Amino acid sequence: MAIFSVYVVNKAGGLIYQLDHYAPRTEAEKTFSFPLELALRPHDERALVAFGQRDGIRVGHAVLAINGVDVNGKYTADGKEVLEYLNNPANYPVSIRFGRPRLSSNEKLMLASMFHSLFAIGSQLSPELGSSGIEMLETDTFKLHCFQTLTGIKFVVLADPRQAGIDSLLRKIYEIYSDFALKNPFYSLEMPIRCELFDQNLKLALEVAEKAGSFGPGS
Amino acid sequence: MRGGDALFFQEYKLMYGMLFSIRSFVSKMSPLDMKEGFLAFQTSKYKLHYYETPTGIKVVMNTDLGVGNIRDVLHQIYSNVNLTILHRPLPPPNNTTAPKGLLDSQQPSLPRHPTPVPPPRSSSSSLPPAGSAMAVNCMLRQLH
Repeated sequence: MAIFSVYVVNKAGGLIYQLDHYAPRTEAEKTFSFPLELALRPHDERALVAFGQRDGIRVGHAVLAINGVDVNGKYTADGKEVLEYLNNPANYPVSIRFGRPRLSSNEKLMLASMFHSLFAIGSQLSPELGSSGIEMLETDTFKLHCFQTLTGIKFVVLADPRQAGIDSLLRKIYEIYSDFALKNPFYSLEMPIRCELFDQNLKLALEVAEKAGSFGPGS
Repeated sequence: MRGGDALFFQEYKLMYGMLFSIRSFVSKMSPLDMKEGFLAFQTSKYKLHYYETPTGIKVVMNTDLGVGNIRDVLHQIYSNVNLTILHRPLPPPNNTTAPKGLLDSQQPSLPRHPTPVPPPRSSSSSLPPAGSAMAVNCMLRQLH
C-alpha cells in the first residue's frame, strides 16, 4: 500500500511541483554471451528492449547498467554508444541490468500537460451536463486521483489501487500548498514551487496517509 | 453543453483520440509493468469503462458512478457481437466472396468460405445487428 508520486499542475497546464515518494523498481540483471538474444532498439535517448522477453526482462525495459556501471541514456559511462558496445563480441560476457525506464523531468512536464488536456476532454465527453474533469483514473497497477481547486490548480496523486483515503489526502495537500507555498512571500503564483516547508510537510502528510490508510480529520 | 455543440457530432472521434492518449499516458506513468493497462476513469457525473481485445477492438461503456468493475460484462458484449457477426453461417448481404471460377483455377487447395465481415469498431453505441442488440439489452438489464 503505497503512494507513488504527487504532481501539482497550474492553471495553464504546466507542472509546478513533482515528488516521487515511492518507486517500486522492477529490475533484472543477467549475464549474456555473444550474440545477444534480445533485440535492442534506440528510443527516446535510451536503448529499449524491442523483442526477446524472458526471465523478468520485458519489452519496453531499458538498459539501466552495464557490468554494474549505470549507463547515461544511450551512452555508457565511458561515452561509447550502448548499442555499438553490445554489438562488439570482444566485450562479452557482459552483465546488463534492465528495468522500466525512469521518467526524465522533461517527460514528466509533458505528461502533466497531457493530463491537463485529458482532464478537460473528460468533462466534454460527459453524457450528463455539468461534469467535472477526470477525478480518478484506474489501471491495474495504479490509481490516479486528481483534485482541481476553484482557482484551477490540479493536485494529482498516483497511488496503489488499494490505497484508501486519497480524497482527504488531496484536500490536505491543498491545505499545505496554501499554508507553505501561497503564504510564502517569495513564492510567485503559477511558478514552480521551491519552498522547503512545503516539501517537508508534504512528505509528512504522505507518510501519515500511507500508515493510517486514511487521513483523519483535523490532522 | 451537449445540444448545439459541434464536438458532440464527432463524439466518437474525440473519444477514440482521448482513449488512445490515455493508453499512451498510462503506459508511461505506470510504476510497474502493466498487464491489463487502462481500466476506467470517473468524473463527478459518470464513469467510463474500457476493455480492449488483443485484436484492437475497443468496448467502451459510460455508466453511473456507483458501478464497480464490469470488465467481464464488456468482454461478454464483445464475445456476443463477435459470435453473432463474425461467425455467421450465411454470407454477408453484399456478398463479397470471389466468383466461383477464380478461386478454383488459382488455388484449388483453399477452403471456400465467405470472406468475413470486418468486425465493428469502437464503442457499444454503434448499432450492431438485431440479434446481438437483444443480447446486449439483456446484459444491460442484468446490470441494474
